[in-house]
Amino acid sequence: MSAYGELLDRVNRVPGVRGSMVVALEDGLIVEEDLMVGVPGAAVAALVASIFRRARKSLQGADFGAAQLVQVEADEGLLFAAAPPQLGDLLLVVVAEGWVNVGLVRLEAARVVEALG
Amino acid sequence: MSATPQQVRQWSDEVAADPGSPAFRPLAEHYRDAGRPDAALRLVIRGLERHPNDVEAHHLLGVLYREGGELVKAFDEWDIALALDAEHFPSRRAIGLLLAERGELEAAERHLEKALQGDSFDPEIRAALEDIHVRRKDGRGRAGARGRPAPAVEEPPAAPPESLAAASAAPPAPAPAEVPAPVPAAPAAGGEFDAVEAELAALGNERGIIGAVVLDPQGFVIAGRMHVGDRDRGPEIAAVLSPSSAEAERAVRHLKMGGWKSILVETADAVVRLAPTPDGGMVAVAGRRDVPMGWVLRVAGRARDAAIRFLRASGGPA
Amino acid sequence: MRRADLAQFVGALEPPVERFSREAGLRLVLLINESGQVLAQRGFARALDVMGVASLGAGIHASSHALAVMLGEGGFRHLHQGGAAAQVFIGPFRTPAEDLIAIAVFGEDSSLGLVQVFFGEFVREVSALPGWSETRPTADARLFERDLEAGLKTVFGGDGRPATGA
Repeated sequence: MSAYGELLDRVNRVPGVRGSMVVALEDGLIVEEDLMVGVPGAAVAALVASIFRRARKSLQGADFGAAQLVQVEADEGLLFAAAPPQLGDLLLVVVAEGWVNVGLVRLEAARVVEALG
Repeated sequence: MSATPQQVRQWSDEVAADPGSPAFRPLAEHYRDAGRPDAALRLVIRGLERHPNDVEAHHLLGVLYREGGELVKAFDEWDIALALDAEHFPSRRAIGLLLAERGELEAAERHLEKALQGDSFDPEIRAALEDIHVRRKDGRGRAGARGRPAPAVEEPPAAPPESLAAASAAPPAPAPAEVPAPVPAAPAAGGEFDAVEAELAALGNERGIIGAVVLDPQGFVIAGRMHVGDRDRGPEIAAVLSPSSAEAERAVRHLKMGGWKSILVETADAVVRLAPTPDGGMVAVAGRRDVPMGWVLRVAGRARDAAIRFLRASGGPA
Repeated sequence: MRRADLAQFVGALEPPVERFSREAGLRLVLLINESGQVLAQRGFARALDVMGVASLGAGIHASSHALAVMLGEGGFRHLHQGGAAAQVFIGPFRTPAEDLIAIAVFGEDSSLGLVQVFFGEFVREVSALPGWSETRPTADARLFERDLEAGLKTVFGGDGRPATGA
């Protein structure tokens, strides 16, 4: 399993997670993915990367610093994107049910990302 | 894409001059596309006589047999293609789909899972695998690969034009996440605007909170302040934050996740939470990272409640 | 496409082109046929020679298609060129009526991933439009059939008809 594959596998073990991906931030293209059947990976990657880029630009414009994490809560699920320094210009994107324990997702992601560094 | 007449002539000339020319394959594909499967079959069969190890030709012949209803012959051709090249994903895909149709679920699943490695976005493979998993749920065969429940977010189907038009014509309608708290005792100043300003100012003075603003759908500040440095930067911040809600709305609409309920953005120094209001605007609350996240979110919830009360009181949508 | 067909079917293209442009955050989108004829457009076109862009796009598509065939592919799904400030996406697709090409110009408000996602939706929408969802009979059908038969005669000789049974 590749290093990214292990990251995704650990994140996906959190109950409620429907899949995760490593996505190129600028292009919104998938670098590696591990998704449940039926999750539209390409669309999630492109749309979430776009949200992250917009949020990053907005917060830099507001002098709040560089965005590290974006989370969108919807009626029927949750989208999560993190840009840890160890991933460079890549994003970790997670798709989950609305009831997922986000703290657990962040913890698992942080553990593996630290190991990547 | 269809071949030009010049290309067809060129291929025909090449194959006529040399029956071993590899041009037999694109020419056969052209005839298949043109509704002449008989000509395509003859070309491929003749081509394979000279190129028996041409994987693509075996795959194409399988496709032609399949389209002609000769399923056993189609299976054999794809089987040959895979024997020649186990990584030939189109043949893997085709044979997997055929096995799924035949009800040979385990074999179909093996082939289709492997074919998914060649194109993980293939909607037909995904649909077939989903169908296999569903058919297994009634007890036939082994459990699915990870045993996860059926997903709620599905691959967006090819919607007819009317529904796409309806979806894009409908205004963004983010649903409020929770019912607002009961109305607290009104501050001393009169008027709805003064009331919400006072409430937001009080929230902005809470420990670790940078500020709270209510924005209208155009991104203008209705009430509140956001002090960064020594001045109120609420209007600027509103202008740059507003497009984020449009992005979130587009994403959840496209992914069929309902309406957006909140956006949380974290930087090294700050946390910003955006939440929609019933009039299509939003509430933005920013807090510093030196206080617990849960506290910032709690304050954000109170700011949203205040905004909703204000909108109701001032005649806006509830 | 013949002039007589143009007005009838081209109007139907405007809503999907507008939606593609808006959803994907495009600066400009042109929808052309393989001859470089512009069927629909949307966006900031004043600074550009639209006809020139359309001709170049059709030419790039024809060249890349020839390259794809040489490589044993039926065609490329799309082409992408990224510049310092603008990127170009050329997406050919087939409708039952005619083969079309979308040329999309975008900047930092969009991304290749977004354009790909919404291009897929755009293709489905156009392919289902009346006038585009079925093969359009034209007076060129006889010419087309004649070309097919001539090709078969060249390959197999005789009357060009393959023997019954493969």
